[in-house]
Amino acid sequence: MTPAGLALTILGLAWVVGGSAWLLSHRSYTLRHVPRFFADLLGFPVELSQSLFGRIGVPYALLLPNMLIFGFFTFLPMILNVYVSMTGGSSIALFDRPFVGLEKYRDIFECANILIPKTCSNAGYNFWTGMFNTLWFVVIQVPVMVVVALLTALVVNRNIRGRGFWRAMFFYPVMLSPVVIANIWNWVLHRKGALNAAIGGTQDTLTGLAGLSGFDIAATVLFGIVLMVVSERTLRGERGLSTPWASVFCGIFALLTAWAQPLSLAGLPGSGWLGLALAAALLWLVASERAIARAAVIAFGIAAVLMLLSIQFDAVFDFGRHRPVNWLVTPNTGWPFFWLVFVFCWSHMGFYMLILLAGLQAIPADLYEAAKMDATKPFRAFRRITLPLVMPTLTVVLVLSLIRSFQIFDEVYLLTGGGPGRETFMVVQNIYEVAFSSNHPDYGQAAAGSILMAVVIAVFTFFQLWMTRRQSDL
Amino acid sequence: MLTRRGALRAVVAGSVSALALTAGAAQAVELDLMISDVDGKAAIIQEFAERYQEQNPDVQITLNAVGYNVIREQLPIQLEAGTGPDLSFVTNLGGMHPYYVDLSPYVDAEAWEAAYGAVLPWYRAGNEGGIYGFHTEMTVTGPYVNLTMFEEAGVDLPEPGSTWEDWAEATQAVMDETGSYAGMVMDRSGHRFAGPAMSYGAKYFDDEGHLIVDEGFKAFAQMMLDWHESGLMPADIWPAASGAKYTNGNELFFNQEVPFYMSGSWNTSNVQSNVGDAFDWQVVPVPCGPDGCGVMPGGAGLVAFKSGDAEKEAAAAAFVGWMGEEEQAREWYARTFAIPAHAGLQKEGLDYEAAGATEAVANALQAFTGMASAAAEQTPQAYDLQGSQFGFVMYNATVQYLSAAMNGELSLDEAMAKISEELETNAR
Repeated sequence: MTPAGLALTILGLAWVVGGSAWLLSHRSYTLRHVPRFFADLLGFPVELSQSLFGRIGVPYALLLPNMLIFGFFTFLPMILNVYVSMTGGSSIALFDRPFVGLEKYRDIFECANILIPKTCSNAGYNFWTGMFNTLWFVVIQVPVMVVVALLTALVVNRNIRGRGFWRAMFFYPVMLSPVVIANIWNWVLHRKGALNAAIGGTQDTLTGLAGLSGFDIAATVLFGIVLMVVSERTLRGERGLSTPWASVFCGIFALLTAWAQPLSLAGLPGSGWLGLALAAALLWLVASERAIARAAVIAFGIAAVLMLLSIQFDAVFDFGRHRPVNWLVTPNTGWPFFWLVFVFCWSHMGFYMLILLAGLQAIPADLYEAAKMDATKPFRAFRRITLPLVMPTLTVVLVLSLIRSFQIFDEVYLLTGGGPGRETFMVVQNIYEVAFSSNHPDYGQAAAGSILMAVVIAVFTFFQLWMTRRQSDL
Repeated sequence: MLTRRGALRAVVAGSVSALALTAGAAQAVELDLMISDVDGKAAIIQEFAERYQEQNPDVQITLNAVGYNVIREQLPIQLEAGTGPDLSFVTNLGGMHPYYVDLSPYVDAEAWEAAYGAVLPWYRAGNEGGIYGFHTEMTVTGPYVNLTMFEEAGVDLPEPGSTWEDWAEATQAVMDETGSYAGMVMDRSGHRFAGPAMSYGAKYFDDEGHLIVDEGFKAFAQMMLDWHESGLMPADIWPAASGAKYTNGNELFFNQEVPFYMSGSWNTSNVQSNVGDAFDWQVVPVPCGPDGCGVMPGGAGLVAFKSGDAEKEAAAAAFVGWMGEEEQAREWYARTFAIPAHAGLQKEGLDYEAAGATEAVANALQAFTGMASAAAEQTPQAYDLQGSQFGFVMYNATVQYLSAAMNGELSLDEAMAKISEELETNAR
């Protein structure tokens, strides 16, 4: 019998035999009291605790088993991890490992310049590359995730058709295992995957069409009609200018600027960025209901028509021979990192959306009714009512997603393996590889890395506790 | 007709037999065998195991087919933790020496020394004596070429003795003509890299026998960097992954996306079964450099692991010993299309075609054998590297830091410095 089995047997026997003896010696039972006897026997530990520790001590006595298990499986490994981080050798047996003090930490911090990981020792190079990649990922991914989750929550909070379906759809990826998520997106993003197949097919079709005579004129007319309809819808919203239609108009304007390359007339590059900046400025004017917004839309419309007439559409849509993009593989393109952020948002966004949805539903509806009676624009209502009232929930979402994204490992390991090179190599992967996937497993180094990472996560956790307390005090 | 007493006797006798059988089964030694089934060898070893069990009913062998990465990365940890299998096919021959059962008491040691003497030191990790494994395949690295793509492109195959630069030029021409994805691909492995590096003067050992990287190593590394930068070698293999992760180029070669694939003899049957009639292929003599035509020998071995259970260790060692006997070894090498490590069988030659190999496979194995002989003369350090217990430290560091250089994270000089640091730390 295993020691655990023996301990359980002794405990069970003590409960049943000892409990029966105690009950029979302190109370009298007849045959008709048999059910009561068993009920008393079941509650015997509580009675015993009460008699031993008094009423105040009972809750602690009841917590004791849980605390013991928690301590054994959580606190003890943490303490052992600290000890392992101060040992060397390759043995997995704790007491066969020689004590080396802070050597493993020194290896990690052995750098000429800690901000440039390649100037560190190999241990430091790998650790700090992972750490900085993780921090960069957190900085990019968390705001994107929070904004997207908020926008989605706002949409599914409205009384749209099939609202339940959309809520379920957005939440569905949260229930998928990271392995499934990585496989799905590998099928999509592989060089011969669904995305490249779709892009290739579209490009080939457009290239074929662009080769037809009259394509340029037809495309100019088509875009002209679209531009006309969109401008008209933008200018004639229900209450002044329409922000949604303005965003479509701005998108078309940015696209036309990128194709027409107006700055090239002055021999300058960067027309694409110029178009995006102008479009963003126009959208801001419309959304914030500035007085010059209407005139600006008309001016942009005239500029768009002029650019439209200068574009050679048969050249724009001639993509030549399609060479698929290696989304997850080609180094120094930024695509692997972009897709990692995208996939992480896609798979986790539903969870945060749900929390925000609960926050949005807690906002009293009469505030919106009052705003409506005052003819407040939706964007203003969002800024003045929704955002301030949903802020406590938003803070929780922000901190939770911050901690979760710092712990990223499984998705990235399965999707890119940390590559290309070290572009998506995260700190948890470094800890895993140092300990478990090298021919010279260095458990001490891995433990030291995990302690350093725990320090960073602890900072975020304390920040969360502080923010939560601050919110509840307000 | 049975009398009552007879029936009772029959029942008792039947029960006793059943009990004896049950007891016998309960006493059977159960052995776990781990194998990486990337090349279809699991089905063959299963047959051998079943045959062995028929002859030895007190042994039960359970096969555990896993990915090669499990053997590379997880097996050492399992063994260290005491949860490893009893038997396994391994490629890190010297590195796992501490866990091997010495087969000497279970085999005819003299016969084994005579048959496998050339490879037995690879398992000893620098120690003297002992027999630690049956070398299930003698492998040699070398290139596969898609003849159909060369023909379509109208490009002639470079002559034997041509350099890596010549092959780069030829495969670039094929790539340009056919629009293929890449021109050359090499498995993401420091072992694959080592042979060509030796052709360009890489010594791999200093005078004291320590592993080093030198100017020869750097020369071929620079060529690899250039080929990846120009797109002649695809980003999918070396630059794509992180760390020392192994990746092979099979898929690219099988799908006719690359006309030249630097792999090895172990892959021959796999190429045959995957390519089929899709295109013509051939193993060509490895490209050369100023210091020879380097390839790396190597291979896999079946070993028994220490478990602390003497009965299990003896049973595992006996199975390995049985596999290494000439009769089994001949059949194994022929059916797996492997170059034999057994001296007698090498001399005798094997009839691969009778075992189902196509002419292309038989020719390929012949070509690989020729390359191994040439390398033994021109780049003898290849055999020393294969026998080094620190070989995998070198292979992993090569992959890890050269990939970083290919991605622009490190310059080549920085990568060389990092490889040297790795060798100083883990290979002394």
